[in-house]
Amino acid sequence: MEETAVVLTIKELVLRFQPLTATSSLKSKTKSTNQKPQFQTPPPPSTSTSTNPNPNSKPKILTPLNHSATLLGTLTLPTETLSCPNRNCFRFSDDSSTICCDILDFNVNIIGKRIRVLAWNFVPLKHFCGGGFLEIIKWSFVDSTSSVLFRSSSSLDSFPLVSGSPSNKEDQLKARYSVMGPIESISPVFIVPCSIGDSKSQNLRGFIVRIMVCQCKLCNSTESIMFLHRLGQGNDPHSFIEPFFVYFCGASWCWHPVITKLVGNAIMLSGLKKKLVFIGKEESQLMFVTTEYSILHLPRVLKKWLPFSRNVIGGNGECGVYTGVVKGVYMQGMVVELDKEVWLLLTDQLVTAPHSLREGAIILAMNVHFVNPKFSWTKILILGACFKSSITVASFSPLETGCHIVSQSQSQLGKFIDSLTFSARLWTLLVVSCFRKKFAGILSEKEILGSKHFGVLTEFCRHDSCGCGSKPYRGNLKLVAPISIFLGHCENMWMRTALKNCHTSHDKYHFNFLSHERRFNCRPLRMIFSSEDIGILLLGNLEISPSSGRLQLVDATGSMDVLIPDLPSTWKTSSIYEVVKYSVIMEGPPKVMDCLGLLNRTSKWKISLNLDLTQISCATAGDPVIPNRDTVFVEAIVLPWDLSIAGIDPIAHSGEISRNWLNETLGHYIGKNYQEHLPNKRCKIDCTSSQDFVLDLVDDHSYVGSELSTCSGSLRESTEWKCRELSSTHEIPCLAIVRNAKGHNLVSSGKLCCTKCKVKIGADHKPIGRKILVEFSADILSKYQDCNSIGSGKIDISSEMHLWSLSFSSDDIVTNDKSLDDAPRNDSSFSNEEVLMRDQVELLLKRSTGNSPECFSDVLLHLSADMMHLLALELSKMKEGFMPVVMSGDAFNGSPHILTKISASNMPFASSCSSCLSPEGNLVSVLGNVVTFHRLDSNLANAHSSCDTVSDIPHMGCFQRIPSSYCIHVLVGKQMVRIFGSLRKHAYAVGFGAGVNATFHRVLKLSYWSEKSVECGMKQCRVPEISIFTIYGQEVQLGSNRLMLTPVSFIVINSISVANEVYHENSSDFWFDLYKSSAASLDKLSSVMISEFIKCTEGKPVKFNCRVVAVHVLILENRKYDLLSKVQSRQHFVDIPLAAFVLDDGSSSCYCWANAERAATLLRLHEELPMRAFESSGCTLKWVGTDKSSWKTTMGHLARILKKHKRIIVKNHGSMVDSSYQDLTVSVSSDDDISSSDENLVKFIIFHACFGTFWTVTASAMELNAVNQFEKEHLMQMEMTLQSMQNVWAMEVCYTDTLTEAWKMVQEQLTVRSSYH
Amino acid sequence: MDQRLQNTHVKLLAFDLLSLTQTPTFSTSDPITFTRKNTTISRTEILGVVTSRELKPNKFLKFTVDDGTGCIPCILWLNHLTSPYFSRRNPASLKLISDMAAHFASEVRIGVVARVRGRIAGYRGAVQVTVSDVVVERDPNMEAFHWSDCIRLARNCYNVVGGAVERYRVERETPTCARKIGEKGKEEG
Repeated sequence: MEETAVVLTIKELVLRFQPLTATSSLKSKTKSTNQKPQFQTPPPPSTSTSTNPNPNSKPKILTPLNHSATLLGTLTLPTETLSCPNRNCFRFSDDSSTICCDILDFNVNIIGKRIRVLAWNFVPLKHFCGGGFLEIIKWSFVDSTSSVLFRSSSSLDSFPLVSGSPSNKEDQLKARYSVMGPIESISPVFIVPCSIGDSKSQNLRGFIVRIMVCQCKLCNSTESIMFLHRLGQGNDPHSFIEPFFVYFCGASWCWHPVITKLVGNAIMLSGLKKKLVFIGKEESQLMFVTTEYSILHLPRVLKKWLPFSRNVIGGNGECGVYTGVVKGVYMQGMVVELDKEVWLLLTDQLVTAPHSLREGAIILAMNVHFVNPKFSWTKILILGACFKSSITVASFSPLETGCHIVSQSQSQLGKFIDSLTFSARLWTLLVVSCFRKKFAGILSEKEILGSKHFGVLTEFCRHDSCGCGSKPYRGNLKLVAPISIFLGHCENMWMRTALKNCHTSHDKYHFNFLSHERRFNCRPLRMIFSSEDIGILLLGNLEISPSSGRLQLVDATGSMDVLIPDLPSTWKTSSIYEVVKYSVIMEGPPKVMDCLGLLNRTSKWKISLNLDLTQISCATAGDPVIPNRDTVFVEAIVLPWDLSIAGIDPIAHSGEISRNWLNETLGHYIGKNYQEHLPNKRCKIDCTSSQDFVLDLVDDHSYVGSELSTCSGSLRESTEWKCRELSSTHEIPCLAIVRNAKGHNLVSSGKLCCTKCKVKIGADHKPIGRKILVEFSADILSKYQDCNSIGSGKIDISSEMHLWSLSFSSDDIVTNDKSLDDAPRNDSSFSNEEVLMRDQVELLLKRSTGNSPECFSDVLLHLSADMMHLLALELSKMKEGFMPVVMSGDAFNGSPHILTKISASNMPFASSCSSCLSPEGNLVSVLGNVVTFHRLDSNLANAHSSCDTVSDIPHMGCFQRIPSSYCIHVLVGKQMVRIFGSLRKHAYAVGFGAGVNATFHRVLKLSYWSEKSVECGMKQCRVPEISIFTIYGQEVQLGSNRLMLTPVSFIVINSISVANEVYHENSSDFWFDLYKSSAASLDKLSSVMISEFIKCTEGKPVKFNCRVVAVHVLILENRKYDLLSKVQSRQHFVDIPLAAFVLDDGSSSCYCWANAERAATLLRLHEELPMRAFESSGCTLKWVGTDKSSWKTTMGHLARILKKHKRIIVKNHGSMVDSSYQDLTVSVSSDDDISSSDENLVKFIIFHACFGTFWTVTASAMELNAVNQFEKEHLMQMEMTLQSMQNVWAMEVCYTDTLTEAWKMVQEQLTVRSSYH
Repeated sequence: MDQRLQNTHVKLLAFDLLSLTQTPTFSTSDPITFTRKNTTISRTEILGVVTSRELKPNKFLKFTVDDGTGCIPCILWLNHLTSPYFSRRNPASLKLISDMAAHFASEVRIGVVARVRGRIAGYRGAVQVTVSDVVVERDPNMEAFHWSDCIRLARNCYNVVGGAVERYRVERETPTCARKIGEKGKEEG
């Protein structure tokens, strides 16, 4: 059969330049005597395509020749003549040409013999290896006698390493050593520059082989050949443990491919010289060096050395053999993907892979280091090749994949890569590959890749130094991910965990669906992942988000909120921080846990990092770049002093002042005898439209920081030139020095008048100032940073807010000064006034003990020493009054003095309307552990819907504008405290929830009085946007533990315990029990009928489903608190102090009194106003203006009308029974009459409210006395009367959950029926 | 005669509403008094599917509401601006009411579930609801809710006369409603 085959020549193949395979002979049954049949089963192409760099192009199977074709030629050892980059490939040559080749089933006898290649692959190569690469799969000797070449008596084959007659006779004597044993490893071919003879220098090619030798006597005897013979026969009682190095140098270097094939086999080398080779400068190594007389002896039957074939993969860098299928070759052959997640790194360019290492081939990687990098994010095995490593091909690839020709080059990067551990090398190469794409065309490949090694000798002999011996293999690499990728990763984790939890809790979920516990399922889910689990490092800047005001970690790809409990004031926005240890807190609706696996990819989830700052290291520090986006809230106290300055026209100067006098300083005031330095005072001037300006000393209460300053002083400077209340005994004369825009000082006499607000506290009268919350934004931050030690990038004040500095001086300072007006202008950069100021301040500073930063002020008030003392005294009193109190657990049990410190009537949002009372109490700070928190919608009445996210209810989408109210259960000390109120976005931090240790700043501790007033259901607070939680019987008993969130409240999360909530299991059950036991749950209230009120309620709250029939009376007010509005920019300015509705549930009707949110809900103010409202009321759409967000809701329209008219009263003189027969009159408090269109719009709103849907109202019945009182207070003046109907006070209002209510009623009826029968 | 429900929108199922006792009176505004178990009823709230619709533009809309126990004829007046009946009212308010009524009329379409409040009146000897307002319900549970509400009210409120409890004979109609609720539940599930 072989005879019939076509004989091809190499030249033909090369010229054809086509990948070919000729394996038809493999199918024939003829067997060569020497060879086992080779059956190549091609690996399925799909396995190799999965990692193919070009996934689109599937590697084809090599084109098979349709006929049997053989090659006739000779296999020879490598020579340097062929342009092969490896330089140590076998050659196959016939008469026509010579090419590189590799051969399976290698037999040393083949060398130099003429063979017939029966099955082969040909891979064409341009410019290299003679034009192609031949893979010899099956061969036979042409000359049949060649196969029985050796001496018949011996079972050994012997091959002289150097052919030809020896030239050096001296060597013959020296070459008397022989080494016998299995080859452990082989080095790559390397070049040693050396000089031979006199001056002739030559580069000596060579390689080293490490042979394990047995030290027994027999082996050391000259008869060792016999033992090798016996070894060949399988008798090996030897222990080959002593490594010997044999240096194949000179002409014998060409045996490299042969020896490579023999790695792991026992061989014997005779005719070796013994040499002491110096490694480095001090060490020497005994080596055997080949000579011209050296002979390689091989047993007839090669036997693998057993220890070598043993593979124990621990992944700690141990050497071993790996056999695997090549799935991909990347990076010029430096990275070879084997099987699944095994990566062979051939980073060292000297360690050359054979050309036959192609995709699809099965290779044997010998002496590679097994490294399990134990990356947390992926599971891979790295096989690191070093100088000991060798790679042979066990089966050629049947695929049409090219050979990787590695061109040797040298680069710094290559050296760098070699210095890394294997696990690091892989990722470095990945980075390099990214760079290659990035820098393609800019830098040459050679500059990026490639290396050349010197010192193979050293590294092979001292293997530990090859970068794999002593260095740790794992734990030193961390994955750094861009934030956007990190977020995606977190999302995946979320999905996975959610799905897992979903499956485990599926049954429970299902059965609970209609029960009361359903609401707990709807709580947002929180998950916490620790950085150990994620295994990713983060790098980024810390910045304050312009939108949320929260601290964020930002990089070029994204940002995420961060909580850093111990953020020092020295943090810089310009620094890049490395975040090592953190926890990721994720929050999202449990909706994503769709048990059917229908994950809602678009569902919003929030993510936040909790960082341990000790684990953050500042990576770099650059020039300070101040972001102009920060927003800071400052709590300022406006002191009740008006400053009157004679002789300055306020209108003329205030503008100039506000524009130009922006220098900020620290404010000081220093008394003559009473020296006090209030640290870090800032002054600001708010130039309002009415040309008033207010000069305040402001304390920084950083919104993000936890260091709440404890005191404030402020001074109010009014441009009303007459003291408004001169009747006050507190009048402090002073001299005011004011710098104007041109740098001139205006000196004038003035007066500080204490205006009002005296509160008797004990026996002491204290002046009470106003507290205001100021939002600072935009670009004044830099100025602060320059001057203030505490600036630290946290403070930002908009250019609209004009900051004035204020300083005080007293008698003796001014006497030290020169005349104010005559000060010489000696410095162009400073006006004389500034110099003066400086002088003054310096004097002041000298007097003060503190070492404050330099400062100079815009306004200097000069007081007499006595007055200074008086003022300081007053201010210190103020300071006491505004000190926030961090409550301990014990504080709730008593200490009545705390209660009296601040009266809420002086709070900025207190109502001026005495009949509508604010909740009163102290602003306190509370530190504790959050046990649980849950949402109660602001119009809460039905806990079912209140705990649903509003968006879950299909027809309530319009309801999302209502701020959500929460009840937070906080364990303070050993006491459970509940904090109610609406958690606004800015106050609510992601990650807030059970297990959080948090400080609640400026929460209102409701005093006994306000609780009582709320309790009786008659007087409701009018605090804007705060839903006052009504109190039930049981709650009142615990009333002393009730705190309320106010618009000025904020929450600082100190720490978050890293523990994932088990989805609606323990925690919610715990909460449920807690709630059940501690208070009358809203849900526990069974629905009653209005007709049953009198007999069953007895003052307790009742719940009923009803509809609005009519509006009896309605009072609408414009909210007055403009300063607060900055914080609540999204809220409307509609306040409803009082409203009376007529409700009907089918059993009877009742008057329902409501205010604030409840009234707004009943009026459907949060819903969209239908377009027909405008047509009906005769409104044109012109006035709608540009603010589209506000124009949609009814609330927005009311706000617009109220802005004009301040207060609107709507009275119904018509029917209380028929909605259409209401006779509504609209009256306004302003001088302007309300336009007919506006009037009609208000009427429409009321009609619209009556034609609405069902409400579930929780209310308490009002006693007759209370009703009479109420009527007297509110209705008499409006000339309204009440019909004889039940009166109730609405506590909560929400949409009716019709399904649940229907079920309840059916169940109720069924039980009644069954008991009836 | 018990007047306690006089000003209340009584929720009655159609069969109940249609079988109210009619007593002629001499009052011009309410020529007929409707009583149920000796209790005067003047207003009602019904809920059901709109099954017929007859519109006379600017005059009235006649439609029927089927709640599963019967069909209740309803009339929605659209003549607010022309009828002398409304002439005493504030024109601006009247325009609003008129527009509202027109809106209700546009909402009432065959097949929708409408919640109707109104005055009980008689027309040609039969009960007819003079519509005050119409709300089209999109909540599929609303019907079930209404039925159970009607039953509950009837048993716990309307049938309670002078302290003596006369239980509402629900045996007759419960099967219908229960089945319907059951079907609803299935749909929901």
